[in-house]
Amino acid sequence: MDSNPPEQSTARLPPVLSKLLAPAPGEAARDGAWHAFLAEHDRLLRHVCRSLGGDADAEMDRYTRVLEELRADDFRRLRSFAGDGRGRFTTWLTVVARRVCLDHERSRYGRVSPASDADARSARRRLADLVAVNLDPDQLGAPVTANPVARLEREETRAALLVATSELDPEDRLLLALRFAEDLSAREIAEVVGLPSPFHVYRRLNPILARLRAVLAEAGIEESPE
Amino acid sequence: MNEIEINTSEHLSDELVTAWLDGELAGEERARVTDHLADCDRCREEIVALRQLLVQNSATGLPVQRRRPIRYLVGTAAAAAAVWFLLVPSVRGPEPRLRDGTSADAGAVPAVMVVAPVGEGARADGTSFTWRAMGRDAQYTLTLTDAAGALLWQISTPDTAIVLPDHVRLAADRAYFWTVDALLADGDAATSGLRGFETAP
Repeated sequence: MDSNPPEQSTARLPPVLSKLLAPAPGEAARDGAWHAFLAEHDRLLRHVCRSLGGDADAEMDRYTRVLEELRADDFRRLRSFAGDGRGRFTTWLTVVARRVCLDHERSRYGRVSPASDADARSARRRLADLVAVNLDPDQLGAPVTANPVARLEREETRAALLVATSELDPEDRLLLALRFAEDLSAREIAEVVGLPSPFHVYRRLNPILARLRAVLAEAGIEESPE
Repeated sequence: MNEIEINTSEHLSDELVTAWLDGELAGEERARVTDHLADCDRCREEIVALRQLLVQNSATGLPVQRRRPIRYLVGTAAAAAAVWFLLVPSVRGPEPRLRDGTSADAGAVPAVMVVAPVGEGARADGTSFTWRAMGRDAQYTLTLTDAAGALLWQISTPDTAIVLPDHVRLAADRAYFWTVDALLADGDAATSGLRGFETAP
């Protein structure tokens, strides 16, 4: 991957950004362009900084860090925004600001620990419930048991689910992950992936779950009785 | 633009996340990014949080560029044929806590509206800062900086007008910036955003 930011056509950049990145006649002009940029995007940046919680001091710490990062190395990060029409500058700015805030938090407080095993078991339980297979969901992620038959059944079910989900299209796998790993509602999933309504999400999820049931049935894993 | 390789051991770049969120990816590149999102907890959690932020940005009237229609390819896991959806960018999020713009809901509280000083010709001494009230029991914090962003003065007040104290001296023919943040009685916040003015020569 080329580490140098691509050449930008300043004509495609938002006006305040184009003016900021253009060669400036002096420091005062550069400061003026920077503050014009902030006047347009300050609220967005502060909204992002506020979204991560904490008190006013924490928000201002993040905000200061974001401004430092954007100004660093002659606006290096802003220059990396490729104005070729792929994505909006305000979206990009939201992405970058949030990432800078999170990096700042990590540098101060360390990394957030990954999801616990209980969360992973809970996600598998919800998927198993909706697929309606005849199994004990707690066994999917439970510690190794001495019962060889139960262990074998658990492994077969886990393997079958893994194969079934891995064969899905990326869009469908993402829907499943959003539903069961992120525990989002249909409305929230629709917003994330850009579907018009929760009903579009249901219309896609139901056939996916039906297919998973069919695959598990082929593998000899029966549906639970009604 | 140089092609960006997606390595499953790496996370998505700023540009790829932006393009995915704005529906600007297509074909194999979109499939690769979506595939990564399905497998990577960190990137997936990030795009969920970012989408919520973008919905809030849109609902609060924060400046956003025009958006091109998004086409979403339906997977063929159960269907016999692929279907293209033309999406309408009318997604609304929950009512945001930060009310600093007109939201889509009726009765939304506007941003803190500043009265003066704005623009050119402000007094260099004894400058009076005035803004519109945000309801009963609101508390305001005024922050004044110079053109380089250095903090000159900050004060909290329940009033909507305040005079610059004698010990804060402004120079003539210079640019300054100020912000009013409001804490409302119901716990919500509002802000004027950055406002600039220039002192008279």
